[in-house]
Amino acid sequence: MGTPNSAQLLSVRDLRVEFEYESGAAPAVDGVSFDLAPGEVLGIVGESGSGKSVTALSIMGLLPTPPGRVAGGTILFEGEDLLPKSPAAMRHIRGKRISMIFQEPMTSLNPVFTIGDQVMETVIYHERVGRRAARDRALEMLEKVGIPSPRARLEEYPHQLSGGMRQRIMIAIALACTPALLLADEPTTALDVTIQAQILELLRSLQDEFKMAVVLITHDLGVVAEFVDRVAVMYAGRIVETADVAGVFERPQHPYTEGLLASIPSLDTEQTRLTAIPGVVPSPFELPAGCRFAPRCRHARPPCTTIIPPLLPRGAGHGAACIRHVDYRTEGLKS
Amino acid sequence: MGRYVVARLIQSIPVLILVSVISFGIMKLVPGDPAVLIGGPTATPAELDNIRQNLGLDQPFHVQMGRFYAGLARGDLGRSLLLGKPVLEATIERIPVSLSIALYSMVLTLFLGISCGVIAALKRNSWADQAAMAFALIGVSLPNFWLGLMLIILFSVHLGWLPTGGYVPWQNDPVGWFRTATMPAVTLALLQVGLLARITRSTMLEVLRQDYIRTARAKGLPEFLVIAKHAFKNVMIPVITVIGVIFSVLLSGSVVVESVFSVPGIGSLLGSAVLRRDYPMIQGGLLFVATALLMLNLLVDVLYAYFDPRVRYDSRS
Repeated sequence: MGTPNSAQLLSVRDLRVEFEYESGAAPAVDGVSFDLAPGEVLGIVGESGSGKSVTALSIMGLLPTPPGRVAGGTILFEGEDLLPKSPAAMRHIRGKRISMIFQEPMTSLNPVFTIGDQVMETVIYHERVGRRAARDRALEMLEKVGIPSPRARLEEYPHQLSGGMRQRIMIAIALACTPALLLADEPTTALDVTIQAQILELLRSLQDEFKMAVVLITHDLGVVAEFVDRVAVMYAGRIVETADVAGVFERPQHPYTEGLLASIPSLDTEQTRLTAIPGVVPSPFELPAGCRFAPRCRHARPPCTTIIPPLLPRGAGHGAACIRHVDYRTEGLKS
Repeated sequence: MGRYVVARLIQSIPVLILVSVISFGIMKLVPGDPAVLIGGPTATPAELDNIRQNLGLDQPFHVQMGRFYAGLARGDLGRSLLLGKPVLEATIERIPVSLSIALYSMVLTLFLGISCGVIAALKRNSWADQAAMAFALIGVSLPNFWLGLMLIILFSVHLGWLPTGGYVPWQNDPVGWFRTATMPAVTLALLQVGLLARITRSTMLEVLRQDYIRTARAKGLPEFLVIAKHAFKNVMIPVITVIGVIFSVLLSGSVVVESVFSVPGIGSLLGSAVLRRDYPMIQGGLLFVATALLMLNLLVDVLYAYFDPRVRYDSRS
């Protein structure tokens, strides 16, 4: 994972993002690397504050600066590094080649413009087409995302639609210019469970239809299992494990991933209490030296608090950042 | 939208009735005998009786009230004691004067206030922000009669660029109108620019934090469109409300400012009517100003509905 791979659609290498406050700089993302092939779906999983959203915003060039700042690394997209690009150059990529949808469909649409206007806007700006052509495209997109009576909806305002419908509109906006990459930041978290499944189903079918790559950011491993090809587990700004879906669910190699899996309520076994990982994600201002999960890890040993574990290969396409993964499992069985 | 306007018009009727009651009550609320106040200390009892008869003050209360409303229904607000002509005529004559200055002042206020506020918000904590906010604070802090006098001293007395006062109607001489209307309009505007700039700044900062602004940027729109389209229309929603308040302050401020610049408008008319106890004129002026404010509030609400579709649809249900 040392040099960026320009054969990939997206190749992130050693991305480091800091937030600078008066009290000091907080590393929100610390040396994140991953690759994404065209048409591939990657899930980035982690708790709140693990750096998932910051990673996505950095790719979009939408990091709030200040206080955010990309401190290093490269983001290769379609063979070009996005980080040194000018704001104007990034604008031609955003919304056209890379799109993003967000967690809060209720507030992500502008309340004072019609749905039609907000969908057409992207097409008009990026493809330099007239209003009529843009309107046709908007209508087509609304149909694709499953909005009933789309023609009438074009004239309506966001407050007239439900949260699920608004997220569909956000997806229509994101896909209107057929991007090569969609960043979906917790797209279902704010929705009802039944709507969540519909939106995921929609994303999956559109991903298939548009042949686009998707980075799905979520804290919900259940969402990951349904939708993605590969998973990267993030903890406190670092990727601690990466593998295909089967690898993560069947052979987790990092104690944090194990903890996440154990905290999913199971229908098969009789459980009286949910298993929770003890402790909380450390504050970016007070990160432990060495492995950042060590303070919460029941397998931690003295070296864990001093050595930063690299992401080591654990089989084909599987990597984990735990210096003790060889023996923690056997020890775990003993205890 | 039409139904909304009609509903709002109907809602304003009770307010108008209340205003007319207060305006009628002025004669009754005056301490002492209005006839004595009007006639002055040298008036003979016969003269006072004459004044009472002319004003109908010798009639019983209900007859006075009946006459007042009967007159109101005919558009007859009585005769001004000082000008010797109908109050309505005297008021209508002066509307274009005050209205043109008020609109001029409003344009200045909107332009300066909104642009200062937007610049201050976009360049937050920069020298431009500090300068805009300092300018705003100074504008709010200066009393308008003092500011008016200072402008006269600077631009009329020392520089000799503008006349010290008076008024030239626009249709007679546009340049003359500008020369006479500018100082009163600026004086009235400076008081309001600060208020508007501060509200615009804080609203803009609030709007820029919203998720839909992030969405607009995620679409790849140029920053100009993000601000001028997506942020601006949202910023205007609270600003519109403030514009209503600003206009009402403009109307009351015009009493002082028109006197300072000897502009023959509604403000100076009301001012001198109050000073010389021209009661029919005060009554009529009060009714006029209240009606104007009601209409203005209606306009603000209609504008509000234009800028905020949520209001538009709520009113329908």
